[in-house]
Amino acid sequence: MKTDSFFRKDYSDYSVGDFLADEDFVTWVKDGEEDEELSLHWNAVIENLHEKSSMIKKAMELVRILSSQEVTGNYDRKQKIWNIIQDRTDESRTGQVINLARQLITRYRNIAAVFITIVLLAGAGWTGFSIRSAMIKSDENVFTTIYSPAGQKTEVTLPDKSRVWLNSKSTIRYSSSFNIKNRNIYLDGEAFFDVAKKSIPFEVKTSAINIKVLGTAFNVKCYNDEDIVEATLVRGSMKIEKINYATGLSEEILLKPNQKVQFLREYSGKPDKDKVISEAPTVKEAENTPLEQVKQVSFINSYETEKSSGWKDGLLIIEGESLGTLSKKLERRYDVKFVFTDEELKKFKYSGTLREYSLEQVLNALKMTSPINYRVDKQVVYIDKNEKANSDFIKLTNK
Amino acid sequence: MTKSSEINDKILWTNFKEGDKPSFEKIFNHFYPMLINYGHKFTHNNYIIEESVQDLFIKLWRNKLNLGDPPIVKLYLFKAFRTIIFRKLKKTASHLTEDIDDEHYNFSFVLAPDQKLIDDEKTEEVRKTIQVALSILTARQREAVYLRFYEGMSYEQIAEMLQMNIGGTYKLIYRALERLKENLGEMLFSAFMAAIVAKSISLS
Repeated sequence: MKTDSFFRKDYSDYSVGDFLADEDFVTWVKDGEEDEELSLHWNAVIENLHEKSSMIKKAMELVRILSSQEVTGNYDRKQKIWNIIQDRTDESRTGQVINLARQLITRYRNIAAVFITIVLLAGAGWTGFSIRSAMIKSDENVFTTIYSPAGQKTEVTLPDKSRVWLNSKSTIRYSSSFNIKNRNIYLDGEAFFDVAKKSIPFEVKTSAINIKVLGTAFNVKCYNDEDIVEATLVRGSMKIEKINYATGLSEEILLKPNQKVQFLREYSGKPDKDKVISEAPTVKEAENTPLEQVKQVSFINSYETEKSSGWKDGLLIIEGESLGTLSKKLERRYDVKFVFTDEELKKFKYSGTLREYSLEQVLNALKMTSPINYRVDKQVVYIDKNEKANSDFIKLTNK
Repeated sequence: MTKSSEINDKILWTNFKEGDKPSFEKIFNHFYPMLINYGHKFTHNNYIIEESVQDLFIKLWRNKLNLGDPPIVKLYLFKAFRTIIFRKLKKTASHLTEDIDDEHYNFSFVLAPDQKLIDDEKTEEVRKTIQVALSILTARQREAVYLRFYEGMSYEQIAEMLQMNIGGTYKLIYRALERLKENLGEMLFSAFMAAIVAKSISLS
């Protein structure tokens, strides 16, 4: 790389620009340490041209700034990505695994169809309303908090005439400047919003994502004890903001009607996935909450939005959910606690839509479609394995 | 200068097409950082970038029997990757309200602060000047400059990447450099060029 006149060059007339245009100089600053000849040469030049030292220093600095690598992507997950590729290109295994999974899914879908027709007969609408409004004093603002307890749903009209349906065990909070300076709502849990159109943007802040709209209808689900966070847009348009912790930049996702986006919270160094449900959920100030990594996991284009908002109309919609996830939903809805004798049982999956029904009847439906037994004792539901049904089940799946 | 690595790529490619998994893994390992970096210029959504790389390699393996022998593996992968990430960006419609097409997309590169100089105000100033100058270019100009000087691609290769003729590619890069020179001034411009040319040489 060294030019012919390498040792004969006269640098006494050099300007900063000349140094910068000198290929040898740039190479030396960039990785001169590796080239002894270059190092010796330039160290000698600096020694001899004392009066140029500040100029050379400046040129060196410029080269360093400019050659510092551009901000790069994140390579941390290289191995993980390779493992996925490896998995999905492994001809010896994929066939079998997929087939088994497919068998299971088809079988359960058929059962679910039966299960829906049985349960659809009854329809209990809106179970009950409960508004508990409390005034909490903070330094600048007075906050209104609305909490919908377990087993209940709450409908509220906000000061700007927007309507909110709050699902069980969910809280919203807004300050006294709501509808004056801003329209900011802090949410923990699940809520459906029908937003009145105004020039002030309506913002929903949760522990994982922030949502900005003008006049729309949408559903947000962000329980602090659940790893999956969802937003579904029924009409209007929506902007979702979240911080990407890998790059430190805020990302925006735009939703159009009938689109749904799902996120997954990822905790670094989190010991176990099942956190204990806190007794009384509190809405944390979204800005002050240290956020875990939130990753977009799916984006559904033409989504039947009733599936996300159906809860407010008394529907229990189960979309290929495991008993583990479903039990959390039922805990909130019926104000009970689920206890599993065997962790394996949490893995059974269900799909279907139910009209509002008693807990007993939902549990019976689950029992009919999977090898489980249940027992309810003082707001606690004990789920254990139905040994006989289970052995039948294994026989079926091994075929 | 790039010949030995290109020959190596070709050997790996031939082996991979015959179903050799270790060669395929070597190709993945070699190109993963380059593709992630390139993808990072279009979006900061790591999920989309990673999924695009993943989709690319899964597709490669599944279609290995029908693949040709590209003269330059890197160019082939970059081009295929660009198509995949564009499709994904269109689908998610993040970052942009308008539709993404050949002229309207996001392509930005940001110079990383050097840890040793991070507190220096002058450093920050220079970086900002360059950032501003780069931001004045069109996305296509920026991408062409990136491919030429950071990825060390030839004009012919860039023409293929961006699906334009060679004359147009020369013009595109020439205009981009003229514009950079206008906005950076002679001194900073030559420094910028010296730095990125040195980088592309050391890369290849």
